Amino acid sequence: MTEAAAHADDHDHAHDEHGGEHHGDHPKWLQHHWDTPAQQFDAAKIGMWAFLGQELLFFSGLFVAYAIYRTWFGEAFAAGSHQLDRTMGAANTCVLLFSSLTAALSVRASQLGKKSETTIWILLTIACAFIFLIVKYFEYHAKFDHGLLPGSFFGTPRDMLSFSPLPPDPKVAEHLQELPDHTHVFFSLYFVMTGLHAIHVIIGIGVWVWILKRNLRGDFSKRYFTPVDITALYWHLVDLVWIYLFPLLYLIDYVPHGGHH
Amino acid sequence: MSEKDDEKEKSSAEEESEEEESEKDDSESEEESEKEPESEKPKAKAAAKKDDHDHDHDHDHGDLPYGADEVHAHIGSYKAYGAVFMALIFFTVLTVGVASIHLGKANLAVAVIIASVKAALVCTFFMHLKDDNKFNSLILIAAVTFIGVFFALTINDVAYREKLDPQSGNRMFLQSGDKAPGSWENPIKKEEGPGAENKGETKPAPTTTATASAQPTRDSEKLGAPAGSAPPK
Repeated sequence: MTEAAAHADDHDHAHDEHGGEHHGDHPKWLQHHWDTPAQQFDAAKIGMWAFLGQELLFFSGLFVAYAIYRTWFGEAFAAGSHQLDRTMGAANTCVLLFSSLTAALSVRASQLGKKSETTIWILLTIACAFIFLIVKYFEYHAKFDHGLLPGSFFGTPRDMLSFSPLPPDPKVAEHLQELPDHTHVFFSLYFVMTGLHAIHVIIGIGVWVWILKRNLRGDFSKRYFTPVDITALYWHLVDLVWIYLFPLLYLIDYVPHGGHH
Repeated sequence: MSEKDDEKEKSSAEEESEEEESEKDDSESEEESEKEPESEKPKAKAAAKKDDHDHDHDHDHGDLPYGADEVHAHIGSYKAYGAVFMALIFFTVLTVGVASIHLGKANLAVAVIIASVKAALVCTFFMHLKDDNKFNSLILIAAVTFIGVFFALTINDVAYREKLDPQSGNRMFLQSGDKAPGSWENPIKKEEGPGAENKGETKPAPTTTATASAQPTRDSEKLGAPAGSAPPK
């Protein structure tokens, strides 16, 4: 703490020398170009929301592509959707919703200055993110095994890690023959959309780990919890995208007792 | 966790952090008082300092005790966050349930509406838009509006290309006979089979236009035109 205090002092001296335009408290977390903590907080939030708006627009391109191809290839999309594991998708939805809750609670704890509680909620959020990715891994693995792959890779079962073709399996081949044309388009969108989402989850884990480290170092207090708040906003966006992906990919015209296949 | 435990933790955590803060403030003020007269310090700082030494302040609600310059963020209760989470789970179960009921095209609309309700819950409560600077909500609304424009213009384009002239497969305007802008090859072509053969989808470019006009109903029929218009070849 003494080192930090000295650092804060340095800041103050620097301002004094620059003609003393900045008055009052300049704690080390308050960047020198902001007058007040409130100003810094509001600016950070607006910046983050602008980024989130950009993220939504960025994802919307894929959703527009989805809309067009689903209009064209409705039957293929329904058939492709039935190939997905609905239970795993629903479970992952719940995991991600729960992680959104723990993220919100980590913000709450840090708003109240409760360091150890913040740590627990962040750890839970990270744990949920890993569970999500593990479930996703098993889902992807099954799709690779059955040759349900994007675009021109469709129809050839492959090993997920080496990407080398698997020995032909008549059952798999027969099953693939039953799928309507253009099912590969559904799987192209499935892999790109969930893959891009998974990349966001992985980045989110990285940011949470960094926030966890800063929390343990004691960077945050009742007066300064902005990074936790901002990271949670990002995490909620990841959840938000999945909220749309789940019904659009997994639940197309779902028929409970396999009327199709 | 009960609210009492909450309060207990809260006060102990606060005392710790406040001790640190007041230590820091003391050392700062010693240095500063040598440099500038006390009167130049703004009121906010004085108020903040006073609160720093008052360990009993504000243990029953979340408002920050510092000056008006401080961050005023709403602190939600466990109950509220828990309720939002339960609502989200409820809507997830609902969307799975509704998906197994055949509603035809309404299935998609229902799924999107339920997802949007969930998204609104997340934005309003988890993302604090309810108690936040309204400008942040404006940014979100602006983004969603432009996504709407994106969808509307693209779907309008895609949907009405075909409708321009189903007879000619949309390659010309009915009235003038001019080539329609954006006239295109409909990507829906029957193939021999699924799978790796899809690679061979690249069309024999020079002949398709002629083929398409020779079989005008082929494309439009696939796009959901009345089934009776003409049987496929």
